[in-house]
Formats: sequence, C-alpha cells, structure tokens
Amino acid sequence: MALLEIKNLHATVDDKPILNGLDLTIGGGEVHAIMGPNGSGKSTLSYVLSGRDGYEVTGGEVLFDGKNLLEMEADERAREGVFLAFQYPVEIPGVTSITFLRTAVNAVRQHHGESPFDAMDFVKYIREKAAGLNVSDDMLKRAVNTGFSGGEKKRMEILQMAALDPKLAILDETDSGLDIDALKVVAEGVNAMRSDERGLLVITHYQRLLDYIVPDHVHVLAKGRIVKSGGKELAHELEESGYAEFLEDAA
Amino acid sequence: MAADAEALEQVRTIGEQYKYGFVTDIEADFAPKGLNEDIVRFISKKKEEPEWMLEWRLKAYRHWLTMEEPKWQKPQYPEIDFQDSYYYAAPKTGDKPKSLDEVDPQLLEVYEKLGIPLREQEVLAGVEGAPAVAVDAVFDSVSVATTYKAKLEEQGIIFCSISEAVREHPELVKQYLGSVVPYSDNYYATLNSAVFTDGSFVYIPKGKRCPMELSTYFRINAENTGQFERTLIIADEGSYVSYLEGCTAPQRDENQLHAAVVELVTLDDAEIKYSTVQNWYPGDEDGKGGIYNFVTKRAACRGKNSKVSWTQVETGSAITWKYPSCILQGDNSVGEFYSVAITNNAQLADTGTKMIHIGKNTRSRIISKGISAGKADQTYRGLVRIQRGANGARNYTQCDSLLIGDKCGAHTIPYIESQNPSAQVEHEATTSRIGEDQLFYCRQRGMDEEEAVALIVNGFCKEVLQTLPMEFAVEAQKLVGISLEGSVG
Amino acid sequence: MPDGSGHMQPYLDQALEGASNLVGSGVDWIDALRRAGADAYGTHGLPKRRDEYWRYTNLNALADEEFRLANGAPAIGLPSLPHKLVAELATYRVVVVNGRLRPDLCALDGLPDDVLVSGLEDLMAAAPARLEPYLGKIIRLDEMPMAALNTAFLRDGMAMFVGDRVVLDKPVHLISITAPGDRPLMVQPRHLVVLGKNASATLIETHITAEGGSSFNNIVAELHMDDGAKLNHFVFQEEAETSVHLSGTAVAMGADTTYDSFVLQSGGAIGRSEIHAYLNGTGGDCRLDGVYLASDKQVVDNTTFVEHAAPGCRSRQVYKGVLDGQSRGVFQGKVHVLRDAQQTDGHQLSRALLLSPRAEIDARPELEIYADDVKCSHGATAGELDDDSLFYLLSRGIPREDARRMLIEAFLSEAIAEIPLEQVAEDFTTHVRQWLANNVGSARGQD
Ligand SMILES: Nc1ncnc2c1ncn2[C@@H]1O[C@H](COP(=O)(O)OP(=O)(O)O)[C@@H](O)[C@H]1O
Ligand SMILES: [Mg+2]
Repeated sequence: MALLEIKNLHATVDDKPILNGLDLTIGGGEVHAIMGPNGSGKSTLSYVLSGRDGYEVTGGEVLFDGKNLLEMEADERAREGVFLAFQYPVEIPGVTSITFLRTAVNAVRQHHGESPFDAMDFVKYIREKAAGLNVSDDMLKRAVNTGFSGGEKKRMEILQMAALDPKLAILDETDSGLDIDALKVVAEGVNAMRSDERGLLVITHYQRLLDYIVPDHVHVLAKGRIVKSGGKELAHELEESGYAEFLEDAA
Repeated sequence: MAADAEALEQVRTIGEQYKYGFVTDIEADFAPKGLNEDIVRFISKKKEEPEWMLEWRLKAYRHWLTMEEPKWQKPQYPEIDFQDSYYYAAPKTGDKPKSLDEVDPQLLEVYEKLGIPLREQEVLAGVEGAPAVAVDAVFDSVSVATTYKAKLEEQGIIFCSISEAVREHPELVKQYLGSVVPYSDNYYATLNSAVFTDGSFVYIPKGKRCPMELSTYFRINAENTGQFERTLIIADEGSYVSYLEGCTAPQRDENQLHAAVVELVTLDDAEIKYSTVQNWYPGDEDGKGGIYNFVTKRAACRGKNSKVSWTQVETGSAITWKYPSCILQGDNSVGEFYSVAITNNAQLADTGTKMIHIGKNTRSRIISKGISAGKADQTYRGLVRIQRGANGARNYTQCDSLLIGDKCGAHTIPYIESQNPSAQVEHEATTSRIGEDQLFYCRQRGMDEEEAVALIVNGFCKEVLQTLPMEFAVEAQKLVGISLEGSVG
Repeated sequence: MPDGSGHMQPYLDQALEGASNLVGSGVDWIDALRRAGADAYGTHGLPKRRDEYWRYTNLNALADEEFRLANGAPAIGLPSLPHKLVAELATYRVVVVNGRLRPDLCALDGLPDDVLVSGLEDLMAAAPARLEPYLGKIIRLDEMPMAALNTAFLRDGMAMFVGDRVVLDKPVHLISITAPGDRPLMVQPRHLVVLGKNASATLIETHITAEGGSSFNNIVAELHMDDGAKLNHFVFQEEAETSVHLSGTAVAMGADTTYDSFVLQSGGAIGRSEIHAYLNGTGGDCRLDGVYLASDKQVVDNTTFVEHAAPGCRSRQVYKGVLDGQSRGVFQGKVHVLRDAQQTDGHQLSRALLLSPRAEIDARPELEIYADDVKCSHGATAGELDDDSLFYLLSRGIPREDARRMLIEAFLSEAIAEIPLEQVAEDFTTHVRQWLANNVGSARGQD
C-alpha cells in the first residue's frame, strides 16, 4: 500500500477551480518533486493535503496510509504524520518558538501513546535537532518566525519537521528566498530525514533545489493537473525549455 | 506628476484667494423672509407640486418645530435666526427655459466664469480631451439648466431637477424620497425636508452603465438666502453611475446656511460613485462671513453586491459639518469614504462618515486626510458599526491629520462598535506636522515655501485625490494649493 | 441639591444626610469640598447614555435599585486573595473594608522615615492641614460625575505620603474588600497618594467582594507626583459578578515623572476603570496598560484621559481584551494635547478579541490636538483569532482548543510584557491561563 494516493482530485478556492483532476501516488522512501509555473496550483495542493480552511475539495479522494485524509481535521492530519513546510511561514508574536515546538511535539507524542516531554528533556531533544540546522538557543526563545530573516524562517520549518518526525513531508518552495549557503544547510537537513518509510514531496519552481535534494520522480503541474512525469532528468529539461509548452498544452 | 506640476503652476498664478467670490447682479424672485407654514406652501406652489409632496413637507415642518438644534458637534456657532433668511430665491427669468438659447445670458456668463460647461459641446474648463459631462446647474433655489437630457433619455436614464422629478416621475420620488434620510432624521435634514427648493434627481435603469459623468453645480448668489437642495440618486439592479457635485458662493460678510440632503440607493449589483468638490465661500481670514455647510448625505446599499463610494474634497465653507454614510444592508455590499478636508484661517470642520454593516461579508474602507492650518480647527468623527448578523464583515480605516502652524487644531474621534466575532475591524490614525526635512528638501531644490507645502500636501492626499474622476482631480489639486495660501511664513 | 427641575438626584440625599456628623465637618475647606462634590453631582446626576463618555456603560442598575451606604466595617478577617503570587510578595499591607480602614488587618511595620501610610479619616481628624494642599485638588468634578458623588461622601480610605527622594523598599498593597450584607450595599472609598520630589513607590490594589448580596463600589484615588517621582501602579479588579465597580483615578504628574499603570479587570457585573493623567511638567512619561477578560453578561469599561499640558512628554497606552459569552468591552481613550505641549509623543492601542457571537466591543480612541509639533497616533482592532496563525498551529498537530488558547495568551502577552514587576507579570499569566481554562474549552497541554 502506498503512503499517499491522490486520485482525480478537484479543489476550488472561492468557487474558483484550481485543481482539476490531479493524480499522484507516493510510496514510503520515495522523493517526488512537483514543478510548475506560478499560479499552477502547487501551494493549493499543499494546503488541500494539510487541510486548510477555504480550500474546498469538490471531487476525488486522498488516502494516507490507507485512511481517508480528507475526513480529518488539520491538526489530526499533522498528528497522523503529514507535515507541511510553508512557502510563507506564519509569524506568531507572543508565542516563543520553544513553547510552540514543545506543544506540537507533545501533541504528536501523546497521539501515539508516548509520554510528553517535560521542559528539561525537551530542551535536550530540541537542541540536538537544532545543532545541525544552525538554529541557536536565542532563536528558540524568540517568538515564532517573528522578525526572522527568510533563511531563519526556512531553517525553523526544517527544524519543526525534524522534531515532529512525520511520515510525509511536503516542502513548498523551501528554496525561495535562500542564498546558496542557506540552501545547502536546508537541503542537508532534509536529506538527513530521508528514510525508507518517509515520503517527501518537494514543490519547487526551479530545478536548483533538486541538485541538492535529488528526487526519484519529477512531475509537472500545470493548470491544476499533472501533465508530465519522469525521472530526475525531467527537471533539467524543464530548466532548458521552460513551462511555456505546458501552459498551451493544458489549455 | 504632471498634475502636481499643474497644481503648482496654479498656485503661482492665482492672485486672489477665493476666485469665485463675485456676485452676479441678477434680479431675483424672493419668497417673503422668514419661515412658517405659508412659506412651505409657497415653495410647494412655486414648484407646482402635487398635494402629497406638500403634505410631506408640512409633516416635516411640524416635526422640525418640536426639535432642538444639536450642540454635540465640535464647531460651535452663533444661534441661527431662521426667521431672518429667505427660503426661496430664483432668478427672475420667467418659465424654465426650453433650451440653452432661452437661458438668461447673464446666468450663462456666471457659469462660464465658474468654468462650468452648459453648452453640450463644451467640456469642463481647462481640461482638454475630457469626456462629456452632463450638468444640472442649480442657481439659488432653482435648476436653471440640465444638459444632455435627451441623449440620456434614449437609454432610459433620468437626469433632471428634483422639482421636475416630483412632477414627471412621482412614483419613483414617492418610493424613494425620505427612504434613506427620513424627514425626521435630524434637525437640518428635517428643515430641508420642509423647505427644499431644488437639486438633482437621477435614475439609472436596470443593467445600464451611465455613459457619461453626471454633475450638479450649485451656486448660491442671492443675499440672506439659505440653500436647501435635495438630491436623490437611484441605481437599479446592475447599473452604474458616477456623479459629481461642485459648489461656490459669493464673498459676503454674513453667514449663509446651506443645508442639503443627499440620498443614494443601490439595488443588487449596482454602483454609485459620488464625488464632491466643496468650495463654498469660506469667510475671510478673520472668520467673517462664509457658508455654514450642514449636510446630510447617506447611501443605502440595499442590494447584494452593491457599492457606494463617496469621495469628498472639502476646502470651502466657514463651517463644514457632514458625515456621508453607507448603510450596508445587502450581502457583500461595499461602502467607501475617501476624504480630503482642508481648513485654513478661521474655518471649522467636523466631518467623517458612518459605515453600518448589516449584511454578510459587507466591506467598508475609510481613508480620511485632514489638513489644518491658520487658526482652523478640524475634527474627523466616524462610526463603524458591525451588527450582530454581519458575518465576515471587514472595515479598514486610515485617518491622518496634518497640522500646519501652531494655532490650529486637529481631532480624531472614531466610534468602533462590533457585535460579530467573525468581523475584522482595523483603525489607524496619526497626527503630525508637515515634515521639516521634506520642506527643506523641496526648498533646497528651489521651491518657495508655499509651493513646497502645496506639493507635500498633495502627496499626503494623493490616495484620496486619485479616486476622483479625472476632470475633478485636476481641479481638486489646484484647490489644495489655493486653500493653503497664506498658511506658511 | 436638587437639579434644575427640583428633582433630587439618586444617592445625594444619603450624602447630605450624614455630612454634618462626619470627621472634618466644620473645617472650612473640607465642608467646601464635600459641598462642591454634591453640587457637581447634583447638577449632573447619574451618567446617562447621552453623556459622551458613558454612552457604552449603562448605570440604570444604580437607578433601579437603591444601594445603601455601608455602616462601618464588618468584622471580617482577611480572605484569601485571588492572586497568589501577589499575595506572597513582601509588601506593606493596607486593608480597607467597605470603604473604612481596618487597622487591625494592616501590616505597616518598618515603613521608612518620611513615609506616612494612614487612614484618611484618621488624618483628617489629626492633621487636616497635611491633607489640604492635596485632597480634592486634581479631580475635575464637572468632568467626573461619579467622582463628584464620591466627594460628596468624602470620609475614609488610604492616605499615603512618601517624602522627597525616598525610594520605598517594598510595594504598598492596598486590599479593598466590599462586604455586602443582604441589602444592596454602597461604599465610597477615597484614597490619596502623594509622592515627593524624586520619590519612588509601587502601589498594588486588589479589589474583591466578600460573600453577600449586590454592591456598588464607587472609588476615587488621587495621585500627586512631584518632580522626578516614579510610581508603578497595579490594579486587580476581581469583584463579584453581583458588583458594580466604578473607579476614578486622577494623577497629576510633575516634571520628569514616570507613572506606569497596569489594570487587570476580570470581575464585576459592571467594571469601569477611569484614569485621568495630567502631564503638567516637561519630560513626563505616562504608561497606561490594561487587560480585561469578560464572560457571561459582564460589562468591562476602560476609559482614559491623558492631558499633555507641558511640552516634551510621552504617553503610551495598550489595552487588550478578550470577550466571551454576552459580555461587552468598552475602551475609550482620549489624548488631549494642549497648545503649548510641543514635542508630544502620544500613542494609543486598543485591541479586542471576540470569542463568542454574542459578545461586543465598543472602542472610541480619540485624539484632540492643538500643538503642531507632535507625533500622535492610535490604533484599534476588533475581531477573532487570525486564521493563518491558527492553521499554522493546527498543521503542527496542536489540537484546536489548545491552539486557540495559545494564541489568546500570545495576544495578551504584548500588554503583560510591559509589567515591570516579575511576580506580578507571572501572576497575570497564571491568571489569564486560569481564565482561559475556565472559558475556552477544556484545559490541556501547557505545563
Ligand atoms: N486564497 C485564495 N483566494 C483566491 N485565489 C487564490 C487563493 N489562493 C490561491 N489562489 C489562486 O489559485 C491559483 C493557484 O495558486 P497557488 O496554488 O498559490 O499557485 P502556485 O503555488 O503554483 O504558484 C492562482 O491563480 C491563485 O491566484
Ligand atoms: Mg506557491
């Protein structure tokens, strides 16, 4: 059984159809990349999978570990192991990152019948994960994403992923706004998370990120559906040819 | 930027402070001075009104007698002697002229001098290439000319004086007059309901976009005369109209009262854009003379997805006191209020808006820019009310005041009332003086202080000025500069 | 003092009845002060909806039911206080029950030299001349009708004098207890605080109600700050849901003074905190912050007037409220900058969260400005929790109710972060959590 099975998915935002019959299957241990022009519905797909309000599924189904994902609330999906690294991480003034992380990690642990971390143990746990990502104690004490630079925000997203240990991680344009050094740090963090069980869905506009997170499969999303799939070489082809042909084809 | 340069040019070349202050020596037909039931009957008779209209006026008059003049506003003024004023003054020209050729040439000259085109082939003064504008010209108590009527009639659009509408379209007037501002609404609106003399009437039928701007130009000429005009605009389903209103008055030493009522109604999917450039005589530097501009303007967005947008540039009048408002009844309806108010010398203003959110997903936006100079005092007063059922309503208010000189005042009094958790209300206000570094920068580039102030203030107001139709925007920019003359140095 | 139509305003008869038997009666200035209060209130009467600063807070309850002035302080002991950490602080303690000082419950040992803390009535009897320069001098009776009523009843409360340059080593904790019997009870406490030049003090007020029927607590505090003085002022309004709590505080600030006030209101059927701050000397710095939490049918009103009368002063206000049930929050704040008060920096922020479809917020932030070299601004928002933030928390697996509580706490933290006393800040946080646990779903997660 595949980890994630998306069948003929249709979704609207404000009554406007954005996803128009999308099919995608991701198995455990696989890394899939979705590429596509701006506005093709990449972020929409990530929000539909993570259960954001306002993104209405009008057709199709999504099975996660064999369970109907679309029936679950957003927090339930997260506890079941769906993680989204946001294209634009949200600033939450007044909530420190460490409190936020601990609340989230403990919610997931309790969901799996594990005992929650106390404050001391959690600091140890998170420091270990943070070290490789260059996330300082100081950052952990600041309010979630508030006043963070673009690079800090993305590193914080990856730290959350590492801390929550999801079965499926969706990375939405995690490369945008990063210089090459920051990109390497983030990519190393992601690669460290590759395992035989975990699925990865890497959404990106450019091929550059895929030099560092090498995918098993590459898909092109245009006008709300997958219009072409291939191996990692497809990313390079797209870099050469651009997306123009898909915009016409899909019309 | 071109428009800014033009504004500067205007500031440079204008010698006099108030260029519309001339008096036209035109023989007028007055009702006897004072106010009583006979005057109300006299006005109604002059206008050849049906009985129901007279009854409505009398009901208002009798109610007015029971009311007290309000005192809560910031600008206080000496008690008005309502018996010492004329309630009806009309240029003595016999019957309303059938065509422009029959209009008294002296009257035409007035409008020419004011830059108002009454010949259909003309356009607003000084704006080359501007599209045609249909004009209703109101002189004291009567409409003297309405242009492009025939052309508009072809499309079923009614644009005429309110007096004519009472006679020719009684069913529409009966249905809508007083339906937004009831005769008992407030002291001055009630007075207006009793003695209103003229004003404009507009009806846009279903699905029609009015092909040209409609405009009314108000002129007070006669001495000791109050002007009480009444405007009613109805936009039927899916229609659109942009309406402009301008006003001037001669320079006189005594105060004159202008108490108008404007009612707007939009049905489903309809939109009205209402723009005002108010340039009544403001009085002299010491506060002698000038118009008391006490106006009730209100829009009912009855239909779903309907929209009303008020834009006002208030530079004239001794006292301005008005709150153009929107009652957002229809789901998804939108109300907007864009305002520039400039008070200089001894002018006073208490102005703002009310946005009443009743329907679901209703939206309102308030952008108010107040500039106070000289010894002037200005208040922004606004109400945003979100009623219990207005799920998903949104309001955004930005309210900025600029002070020029240390003898003026600027006040901001918003009332924010929300009864619905899913509504978002956001209000921001700032008060500051004109930036010294900005002034210095401009002057270092060779501008004199007045030019620099005009330029900076125009920038401060830009967000509002750019919502005006092009024909008015240029005039408004010039006015901004002119109104602030003598405020620096 | 009947009004123009010969009608006697409610409660005025009670004030006039007892006046001649009170301590201080026969002292000219005290008689005059009580009379001025009675006159001002007699002219105005109970505030009504048409009074600009009372349009959102309805006092009909006071007209419908006759509250009787408390007759002495009942012999109750010190109850446990709702704010544990504050209760544990080392403080000088002053206890006022039903508006009368209870010396037996006070703890004032070790007060430094040149500091006097006493009952107002005691001082009025012993040394009225000490009070004369201050008492009734900063309350504007014509602008504060309820303070005028309090002045007509002028009798007892706390009087506190801190001498020049004295830095008080411990906060003074004023515990104000309303102990109603079975009849509707009225109390009219009056407090006076005088800080000398460069003196520094912390004043904590806790307002609670003992078991019993309904009560009406009408408090006035006058705070005089001489040049360079510094006052931290915390108020915890935790009265019972059967109580009408009206508090009027006026503070006169000299040059280079710092007044830092924080008000928590979560009690009362009606709770109103009205603060008038007068920045009379250059370099004054005034901070007014507050948090209010309301549920059921509570009305919580925060009204502030900040008058910049001198140049170069600064004022900052942040009020945040959370409204549940059918409660109503009111914020009215006025920043008034007089002609000569150049270089004024004034800022005001009111933010309210509505948790329930029956709750309501009415805000009226106001700027009245007559000087041009100023930087003044205000902001006001009302609404529910931000969708994006809520989704972000949910997407990390945090259950909805916990996520909501975290965000509400974060919303309030901006105001709480301004509290300079650590234990007080901590106490606030605990209090807020408790309130949220009681009002926003079931308690879970967190510590
Ligand atoms: N909240 C929204 N409201 C309305 N339209 C939206 C919203 N979010 C996305 N869209 C529209 O959906 C389409 C797809 O957007 P998105 O999924 O963000 O694309 P991508 O991530 O591929 O750039 C775009 O046309 C965008 O304008
Ligand atoms: Mg995207």
